[in-house]
Amino acid sequence: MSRSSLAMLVVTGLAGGCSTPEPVEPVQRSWGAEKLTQVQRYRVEMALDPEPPELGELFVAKARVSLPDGTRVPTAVVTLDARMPQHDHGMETRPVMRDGVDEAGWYVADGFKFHMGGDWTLYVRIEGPGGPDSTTFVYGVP
Amino acid sequence: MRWACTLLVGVALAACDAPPAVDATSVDATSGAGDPDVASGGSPAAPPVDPEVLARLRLDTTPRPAPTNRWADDPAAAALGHALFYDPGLSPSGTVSCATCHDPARNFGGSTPLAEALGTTDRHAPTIPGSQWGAWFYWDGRADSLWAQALGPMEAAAEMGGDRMYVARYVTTAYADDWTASFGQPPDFSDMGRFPAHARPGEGPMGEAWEAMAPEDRALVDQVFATAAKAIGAFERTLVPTDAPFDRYVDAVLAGDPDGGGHLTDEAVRGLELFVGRANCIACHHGPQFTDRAFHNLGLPEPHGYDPGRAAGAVKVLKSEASCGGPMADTDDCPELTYLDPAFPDFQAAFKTPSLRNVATSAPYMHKGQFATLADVLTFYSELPGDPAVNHRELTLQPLGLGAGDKAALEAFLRSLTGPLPEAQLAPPPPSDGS
Repeated sequence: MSRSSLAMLVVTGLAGGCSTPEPVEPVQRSWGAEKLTQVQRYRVEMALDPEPPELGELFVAKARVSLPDGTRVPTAVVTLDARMPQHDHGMETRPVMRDGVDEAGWYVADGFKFHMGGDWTLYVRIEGPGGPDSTTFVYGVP
Repeated sequence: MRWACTLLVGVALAACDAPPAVDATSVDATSGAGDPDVASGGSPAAPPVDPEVLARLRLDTTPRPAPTNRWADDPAAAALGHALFYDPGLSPSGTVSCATCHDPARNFGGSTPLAEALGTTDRHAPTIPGSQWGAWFYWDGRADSLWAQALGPMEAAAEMGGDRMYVARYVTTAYADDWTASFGQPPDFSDMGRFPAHARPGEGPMGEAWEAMAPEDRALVDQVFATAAKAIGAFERTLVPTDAPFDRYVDAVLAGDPDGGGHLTDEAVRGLELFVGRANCIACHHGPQFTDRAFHNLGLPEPHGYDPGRAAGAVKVLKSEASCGGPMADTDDCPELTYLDPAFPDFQAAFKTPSLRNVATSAPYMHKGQFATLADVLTFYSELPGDPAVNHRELTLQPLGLGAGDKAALEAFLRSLTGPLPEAQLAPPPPSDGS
């Protein structure tokens, strides 16, 4: 699977009303991504290992959390999960968050698996010094 | 994910006067499979299916590690396993071998809807070639290795009807020299007081005999029983599909020939377009083995009543003595089991996606052998009749509404996935090789 074939899609709005088409975020040519959380309390960097993950194989998901000003947040409680909303199911696995952050500041979850192709939504939930917040990343898995 | 992007954007385009803003990068990502212009041959210089999609389907025979079996890639163990696979002496009746249900002429799958040996089992015998690339075995995934799967039939009443004590004694006497050469001197089972004729865990006289044995003697028997299965597993790992016309077509396309060297008929190419496009078979049948190795509820007719499928299999594999980390396995590093969620709701009535390699020679089809022909399978996917008795059908499935031409095209493509297995594997080894 070549990296050039990978696409990370944010499709929210595509299936919505048509009179005022929702903007479509550009496809990103990397599995890594960074965005502000829903109410903008945190900035989240997202990475998968290996990158890209192989369909049907276990991989690691990890998130690095900062305040909007860039200050790292190493003391939050972060949970990571993934679902296929269009199929109304999650993963066949129960990922486990490691304690704390690693040396590079990542919150790490072992045991992720995309068991079928399609759009997977990865959920990041944060309980930290800035209060609770969350965000999602959508991965198109070929 | 090019096809999904195509579908989603395609929906928006079809439903709206003005298309949503899509930047140039994402437009590029939608080219290829599913694009009506391309699929209908609008660009004569381009192959009808995205070469990157084709490359992901090409046969790849790089072995998958099998850490629970230390002999997985040992040629001598595989040779012994070859002999054991075809040996009816492995069953106390002397009438049933692995090949009784796993018919070499049927891609090592069953010839009857439900496997029939000493009795009738409750599932169809699945095919074996290429199965080493899966993480789970049996239709419900209740084993996590080929060798762990091979243990089950030897003690199943409807299959070989044997027991581990019998098997351990048989393999270490009938194959004494080969056994010693591969695995070292076997235990001495000649003391019938310590090692009865028949014993295994469970109910009944054989269970009582097993309980009466000393724990250290039971451990010796378990070790030999598991090693015999590991030899069979090593042989089964050598059952590897070979290049089919489809693979030669892919090679030609990747080499720059949009016609794929003529290795597929026009009808098969149209079937391929359907497979990766409108019919979206590739959603589950993808990768070099044409399977996602996962479990899905298709809402199939269940002529013998409700079958929980993976919901029960996931629980069993976590408890099995033969699973990774168990006393019979050769490693306790078991990430698949560590993170498996046996309560995953969609495991209810879900069964493993089979490989489509050599599918044309693998009839009948599905976990109960519900369909006799590929045409029957395609008609099912076209119509999706009825609803599952429990849980729901995989939501990605919608009736395809295939016409007769579509079905014929898909079948022609499926037949192009046929690659012959080596003749030597289709029969027992010569006596000098294995017994």
